[in-house]
Amino acid sequence: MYGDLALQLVTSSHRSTLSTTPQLPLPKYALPLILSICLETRQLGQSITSAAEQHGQVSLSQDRSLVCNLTVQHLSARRNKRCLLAYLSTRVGGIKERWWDSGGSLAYLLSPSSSSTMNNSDPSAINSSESESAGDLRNNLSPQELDFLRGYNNLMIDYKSDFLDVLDLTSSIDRPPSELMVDVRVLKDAGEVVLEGGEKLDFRKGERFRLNRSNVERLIVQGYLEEV
Amino acid sequence: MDDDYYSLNSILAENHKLSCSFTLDVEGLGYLEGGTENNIHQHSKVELPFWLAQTLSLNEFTTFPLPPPYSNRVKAALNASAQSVKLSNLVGGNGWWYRWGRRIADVLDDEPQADLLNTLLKAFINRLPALQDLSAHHASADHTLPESSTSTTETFRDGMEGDERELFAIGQESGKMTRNWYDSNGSRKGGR
Repeated sequence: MYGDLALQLVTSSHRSTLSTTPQLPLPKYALPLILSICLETRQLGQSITSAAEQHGQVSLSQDRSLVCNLTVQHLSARRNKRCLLAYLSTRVGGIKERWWDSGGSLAYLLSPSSSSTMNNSDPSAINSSESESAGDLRNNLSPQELDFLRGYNNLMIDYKSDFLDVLDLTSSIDRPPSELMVDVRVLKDAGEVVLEGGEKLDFRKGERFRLNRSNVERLIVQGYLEEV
Repeated sequence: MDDDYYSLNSILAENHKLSCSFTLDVEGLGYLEGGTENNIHQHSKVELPFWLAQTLSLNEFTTFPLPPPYSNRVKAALNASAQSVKLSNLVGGNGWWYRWGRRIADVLDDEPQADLLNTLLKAFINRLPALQDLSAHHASADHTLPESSTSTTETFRDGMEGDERELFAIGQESGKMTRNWYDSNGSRKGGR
């Protein structure tokens, strides 16, 4: 039946929205299924145009059974289109959500190499799943979706740069900051980090620091540091 | 309850099949019946997914009676006790009773349409107190006591329809978040 493949796509997408949280990666872009849906739709289109040419204008307006036939094919093609667009828009929504959750750090989202090294030195369960997913996200997106992510990132950076001195849109809002400085403990080796004022600090696992919140906000979101 | 073009719930709900009868012979659509026939004959009954059935009915290629999930039997059960009717298995795998009912109502004539919409509305209103109660207290309910399978809360929980389940999840989630917020407020370090 026409539309069965599209239904498969939508049900798998629906199931994944029920079970994934923003910490886990998006499921892999279902390229073969999408190509076969596109093929089916193109075939339907060709069948409609050839039938219309074959029968001519007069019989199109009078032969109701022919019209019914063509209507069914047209509806199936439209249905396929709707399912494809809904699948794509759900994934795009998921990408945007993950971007905001990571505090707008594109490198973290796309880095495949940091995930494998971080896994070994890392005891905390939450952090290990985050670092695994950082690598997997890149593999699970299609090239167009990666382009979208980069473009969206650039758009947001452009947008917030106008008022960055007053407000940083991508900083977290979980808890309003109660003071300027914050105590942090290092969870993962982050190596040498250059702070805002030009200071260099070596972040080794287990060390504690007292720093300006603005310096460490990003690292807390990415899981390298933990607030104490 | 979004009827958005892009809504996955809406797409899945519209896929549910409706039993229609064709008003004319149609060549070459035999595959809809699932058999080996090449053509469909007049008055033959076919199960079509709603997205097909809607346009075909509007153009009078097919007709359909009021489908079983909204029959008089279900209406009578809802009038008797709305909360103990299992809506989850009436329409499709996940149960989209309300959504599908609204789509059907779009295709009906005025009088049956008003009737159906009224039924949907009354059912939702009557089930809402139980839903809200359940979502607010489900986490703290005493599960050590064996609940008889005929109790209303048990049947209601099993019979929740798709959209009701989503509301239930939202209710539970917000209850949890409120509790977390209360707890976190008390445990702030270094009183300032």
